[in-house]
Amino acid sequence: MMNKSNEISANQVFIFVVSGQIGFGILSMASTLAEDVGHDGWIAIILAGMITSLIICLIVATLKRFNNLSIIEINNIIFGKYIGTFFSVAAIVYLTYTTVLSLRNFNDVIRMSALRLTPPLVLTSFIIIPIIYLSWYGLKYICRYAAAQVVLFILVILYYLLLIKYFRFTFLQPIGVSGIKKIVEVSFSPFTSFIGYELLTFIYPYIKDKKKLLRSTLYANTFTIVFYLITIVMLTGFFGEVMLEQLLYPIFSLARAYRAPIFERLDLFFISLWFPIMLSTVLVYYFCAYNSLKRLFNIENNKPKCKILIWSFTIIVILLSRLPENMVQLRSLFDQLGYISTGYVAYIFICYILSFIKRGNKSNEKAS
Amino acid sequence: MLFDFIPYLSYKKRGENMQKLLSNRLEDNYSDLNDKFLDCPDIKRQRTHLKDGCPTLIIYVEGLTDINLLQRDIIPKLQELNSTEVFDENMQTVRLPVASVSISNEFNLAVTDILSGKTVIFINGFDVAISLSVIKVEKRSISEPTIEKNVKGPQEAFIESINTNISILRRKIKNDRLKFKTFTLGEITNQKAAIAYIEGITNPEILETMHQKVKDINYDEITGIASIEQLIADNQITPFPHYLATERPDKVVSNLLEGKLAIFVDGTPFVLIAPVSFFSFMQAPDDYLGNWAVHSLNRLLRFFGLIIALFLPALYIAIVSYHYYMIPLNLLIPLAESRARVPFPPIIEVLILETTLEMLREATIRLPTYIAASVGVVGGLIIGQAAVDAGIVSNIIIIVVAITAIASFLIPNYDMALTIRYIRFIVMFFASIFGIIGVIICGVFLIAHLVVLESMGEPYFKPMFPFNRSDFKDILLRPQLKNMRKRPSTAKPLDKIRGGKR
Repeated sequence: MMNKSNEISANQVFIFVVSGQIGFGILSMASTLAEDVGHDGWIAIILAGMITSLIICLIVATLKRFNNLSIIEINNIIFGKYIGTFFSVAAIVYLTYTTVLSLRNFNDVIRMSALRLTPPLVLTSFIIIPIIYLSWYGLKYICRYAAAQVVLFILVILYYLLLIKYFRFTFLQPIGVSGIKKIVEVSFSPFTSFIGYELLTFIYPYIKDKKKLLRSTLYANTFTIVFYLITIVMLTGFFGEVMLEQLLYPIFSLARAYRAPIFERLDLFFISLWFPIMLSTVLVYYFCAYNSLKRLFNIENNKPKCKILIWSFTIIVILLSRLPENMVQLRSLFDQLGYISTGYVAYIFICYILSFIKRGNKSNEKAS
Repeated sequence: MLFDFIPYLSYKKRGENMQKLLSNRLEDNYSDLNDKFLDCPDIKRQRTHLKDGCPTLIIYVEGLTDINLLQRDIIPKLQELNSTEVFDENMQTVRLPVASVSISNEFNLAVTDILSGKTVIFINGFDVAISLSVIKVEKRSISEPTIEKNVKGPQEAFIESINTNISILRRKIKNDRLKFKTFTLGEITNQKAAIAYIEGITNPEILETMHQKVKDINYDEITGIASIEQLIADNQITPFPHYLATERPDKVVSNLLEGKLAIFVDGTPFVLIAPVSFFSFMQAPDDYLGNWAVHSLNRLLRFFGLIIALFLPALYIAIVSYHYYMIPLNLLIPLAESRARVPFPPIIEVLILETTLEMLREATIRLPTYIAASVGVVGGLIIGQAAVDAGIVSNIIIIVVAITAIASFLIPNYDMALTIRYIRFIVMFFASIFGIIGVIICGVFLIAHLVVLESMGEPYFKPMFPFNRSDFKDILLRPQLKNMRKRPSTAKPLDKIRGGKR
């Protein structure tokens, strides 16, 4: 049976995908790009965005072949019960891994920018409370909450406008100096920063009007690209590539750059704008992992078991998030995450091909 | 009675008693009624005779009956009739000078009629009871609203009597589409209750859900309108009010016209409006009675006040305890000076003052007005000044707490103001532990909670998240009336456009 509190419209998919996409990548991406392609990062972003759009079309096409099923059930259909379960567990491990890393990253960002001395376990347990709360109630409420971020995005853009007078076009010139080959090469790597769209494979059955799905996901991706583009251009034009390379979180440095008239420092408020945005990234991954576990164990309508599941899952996530020893290790794990998510996309591609082979077989009635 | 729209109290299902019929013989009825009304000295049982000597029994509740009318007009007329002349041929009408008469042959119906204040006549030889509506109940007159004041709108409020309240509403909406669904509440008190709605605007689905919900309340007594709210609320784990309780008829009218329902209960001067969104609690009746630009500004001020009331003390605690570098230098020096004399951490400092203020507020509610004024002077001025001099709290915190208090008075609804105050303390607590992160996570959790809440299946935080453009116009700002042709979608009205077709 479908749970009504999980049903969302295609318009809500937009904000869901944006929440998944805009989060942690954006904090450090500008400096990574500056190291690789200097001031031409924005071209790489556009290219990467186009690649992402193609991948989204592929994912939606795959999902359309299996009517109303998430990747957990698709695995079972394509690979049979045992191998399918293995792949499902692998997918859930991937989600959990992303949740853990982003939660840890969120925790570290807070510790760096605001609370240096708070014990990390206490802080992590605190920031996860809204995440548990919303995940417990369901996807519909997550999307409603995520819609609140639109206000934050607008505020971020307004903040950029405050600093527009320091913006220098000369930092962006000459265009394309780092060479086409290099830019194309890089554009295949930062599309890991766009991950978030792959969550569609987990929430697909809950979407009501599936016809509009592709459109709103592509809109979401475009929104993300435009937002990234504005951010990268702003950061490059503000700091210049040489300075940008050395900053850990250039966005936070940008927040500190503004001197308000009487209040002097408002950086904490501008940094604070990012916290709910990051939180919702953790939220969507957490929800997908938790919900896929529910589907895997087939306990979607069993409240007491769900309660046990959500609490044990939360404890596991909190404990795992303490495993990376320091920031350097976390950084490298994040880089690996890029490869893993690429692997996941490749896996979906395989599923797409296999769906044609399987079509003649017993799963025929399931395919649309 | 002119305004007696309420038909019979529907009687509760009590097994075999339900179908008990009246007897032909007066003595049987009399003894049954005597058993029923044992130890009820207020229920008068008066025997008399018709013109032909046929024994007759008149029963009424002393204090609920217009005794003058009964003595002067009804009893003499009754005594002039023969037993054959009382009823017409079809036993449908009675030859008595009373506007509202009903005839029934069910024992329990007669009993409920008596208890609801009607005068009931039994005549020997007839197995029916005649119920006459000659009710006269002591009640206070319609007065000014006490907790929802306004400047330009109508200055009348509901009273405790449901008949009067309904008559006020009928006077304001002179239309046959204004309908009431009536029933009784309270297993013991048998209070009359009614759900008002406007046919053709109100969504029947919502009406049916609410009617069923309220009818299913199984409780001894409905003390106030808030009892209903607590008994039927969808989500019990929330500090937020689910439905809007108001004492203002004009507010009820405007909400009915948006397709909402109004629940009246006898014995309370408040009316419950459902379904509502969070923003209904932020609207004052005055908003629509003046220039749109001026009142838009008022609305914005109110939302600003809401944010201040929720977060200002918490922000103070967070910044002073953790992020003091956020304070501009010119302000930091006086703050440090005044803080230097205070031995407590900021959270204790704020709690001392906030608690004092809350005590003051709670005390003044129940005190007579002339004492309350002096309590305000003692509490507010003297203690505040003395506390600073004694070095218990700093100067700035007095300003912060005072601004917060003023801001929280901007919230037009009493229930919502209490809720906001409650949340403020939670935010303060977490701000003292986690600084600005505590404030942000509390804010996030607050929004998460608000989007999860639903009022009769409609999202509580609706026009904002989920966003609805045509409703959103009337949230932060107040557009011109001409531009608000569309009814808000909270109650899913059938007729979406205001005004008739021309």
